[in-house]
Amino acid sequence: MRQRREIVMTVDELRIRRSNTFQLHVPFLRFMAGGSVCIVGANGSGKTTLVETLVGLIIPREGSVRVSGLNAHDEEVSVKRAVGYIPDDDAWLIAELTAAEFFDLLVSVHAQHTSKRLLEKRVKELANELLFESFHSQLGSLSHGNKKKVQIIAGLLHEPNFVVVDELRNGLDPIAIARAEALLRRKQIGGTSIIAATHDLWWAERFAEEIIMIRRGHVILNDYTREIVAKSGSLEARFMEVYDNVA
Amino acid sequence: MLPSLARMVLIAAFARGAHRPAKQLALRSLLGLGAAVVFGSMFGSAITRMHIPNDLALALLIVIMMLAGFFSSGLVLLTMIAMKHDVRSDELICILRTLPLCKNLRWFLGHLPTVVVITYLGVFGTFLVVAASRTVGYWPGLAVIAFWLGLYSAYGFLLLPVLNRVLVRVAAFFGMIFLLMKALDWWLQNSTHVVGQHVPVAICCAVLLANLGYWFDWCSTGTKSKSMASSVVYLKISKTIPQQLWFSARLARNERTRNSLLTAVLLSSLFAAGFWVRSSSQVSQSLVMLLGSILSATFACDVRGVVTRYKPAEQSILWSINALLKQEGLITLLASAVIGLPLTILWLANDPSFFSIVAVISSHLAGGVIGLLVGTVLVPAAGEMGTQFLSGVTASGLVVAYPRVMSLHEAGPALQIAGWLSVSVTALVLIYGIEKTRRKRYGYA
Repeated sequence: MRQRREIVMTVDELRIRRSNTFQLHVPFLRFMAGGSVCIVGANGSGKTTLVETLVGLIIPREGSVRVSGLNAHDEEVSVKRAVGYIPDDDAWLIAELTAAEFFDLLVSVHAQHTSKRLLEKRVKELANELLFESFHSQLGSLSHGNKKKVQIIAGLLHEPNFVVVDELRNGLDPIAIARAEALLRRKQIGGTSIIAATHDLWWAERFAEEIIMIRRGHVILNDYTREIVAKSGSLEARFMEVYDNVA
Repeated sequence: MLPSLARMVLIAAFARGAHRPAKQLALRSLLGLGAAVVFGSMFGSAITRMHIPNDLALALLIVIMMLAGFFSSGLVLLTMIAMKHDVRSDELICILRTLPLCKNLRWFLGHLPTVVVITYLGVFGTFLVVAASRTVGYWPGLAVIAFWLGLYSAYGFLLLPVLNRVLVRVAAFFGMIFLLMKALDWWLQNSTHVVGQHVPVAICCAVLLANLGYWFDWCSTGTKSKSMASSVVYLKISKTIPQQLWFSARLARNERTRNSLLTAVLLSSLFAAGFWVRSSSQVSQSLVMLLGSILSATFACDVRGVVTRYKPAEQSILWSINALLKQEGLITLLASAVIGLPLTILWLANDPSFFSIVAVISSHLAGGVIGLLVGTVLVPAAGEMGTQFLSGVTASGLVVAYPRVMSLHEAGPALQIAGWLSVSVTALVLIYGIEKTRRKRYGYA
């Protein structure tokens, strides 16, 4: 059943040089429609670099990222309409705007392709789902958790085919985590692909169908979660095993 | 969509950290425009009283206005580039890059804050250009167009892809200015020569060619990756830094202050070299004082911004306020002396009397202290384009206004020294009071 899903995003021979000592090299990756993939790895292994390449913030010198057959760099606008990004950094918000102003801005950008009323309705629905109420507070004054909620709403507002998440659980309280996870699950069932970068191996094992493990810029493992668990008992055990072996 | 996006970009550039950003943006925009109009009309009326020759050729007027626009815009933009750390603006560009926006729109939004700054400069300059044109008896339209073309050409020049480092930009810009001035000189001396008749066209073409920078920049939009932390070059300093040198080390490690200091020293050296090459005997003491103190003040505005604005860990944990102020003051004075050194040497060649030299040095040091005061009040942090611009303009304005109000330029050297010293001491006392109050109020909303 899993094998019959449509491949909607491919990464081919990707090479990104970030410094004299670090280079990300991804020979080949494919992401399925309605799939959930977790990218795991130690600090500085290249998770965020890969995530930022998938959302088009980093332009690869070599290799390509293709979304539904379109080159992510050449067909930038079409691809970005299909991708939603939930970053793990407050800097992605304009601190001076209120949450309502920020959502209005996003609604006006996406309103070229979706009805404005529908987008506004989605903002309200997503906010209700995540228990977000601070619409009239400046983004800079919000708590870390509320900022994350704003980023989740911003990332899902335009109903993207791909959602790329960097550390979903950071800053959220247990209720918000449960609701955000449920939200992503529903999107996934509806055909949206979820790609998440995380340090939380327990969550990755529970959430993802597939795991990509990165170490010092190289993909050292790309396998189904159930197979990893069947072989090693848990993702954490496999992580330690793989890292120890490579070290 | 465009108004919402433009508003976001302008808020991020000119109203960063404001509690009511929309109101602050409107207020600051009106203030900027008002200042441009008021100062423009004041200086414009001063120009009408100047002795400008009536037989000035129209071609010469157009070339001069184009060069004036090119020079003034380039100088302001270079100062802003030196004061700016790219990371904050990159964040805004990153936000824009995650949105499905077309290339043209993203390119336009990226340049919008600079366009606003150039426009204010243009409004100010237009009054002067109109006044000058009317004084020599020409319709001002052509001169105004030439001036605005010069303004925007300077920005185009600084966008050229080969000029990707601040110091290269400064050197290239002044190299261009030097060549253009040489061409203008040659034309004035050989205006009847066959080749000489084509020089104004060549000068205008050279200035307009700088607009190719816009084209290159447009082509590279979306082809560059997001800035990476690893691309920020930190100056390596030994880990065993004595506590007394800690603040200096912090300034040296900060790319913004480093660039700002290097640019100020380079500009000062270029001014001194330019005066020396052209006609050193015509240089007045007030000009040497003014240039040195403006450059020192512009650098000193950045010094306080190295330490965080509202959570001064350095103040409460590492040292007392007194120790911080001592460090800030010493570094500012030392840097001001270094910035003013080329101009001081130039003046030494003109008038080697002891008091005259001390007056020049004290004006440069006072400029630094005034800049530090403005920096302490506004604390322009990295990427706060509006605050940086405002602090630079305020400090420069104070440095220009103070000697005029006190009539220091007409006074003798002893009085000049006393005047500059008294303003320095007053500024230091004010800085101490501001920091003390800020520390006492820390924690209160």
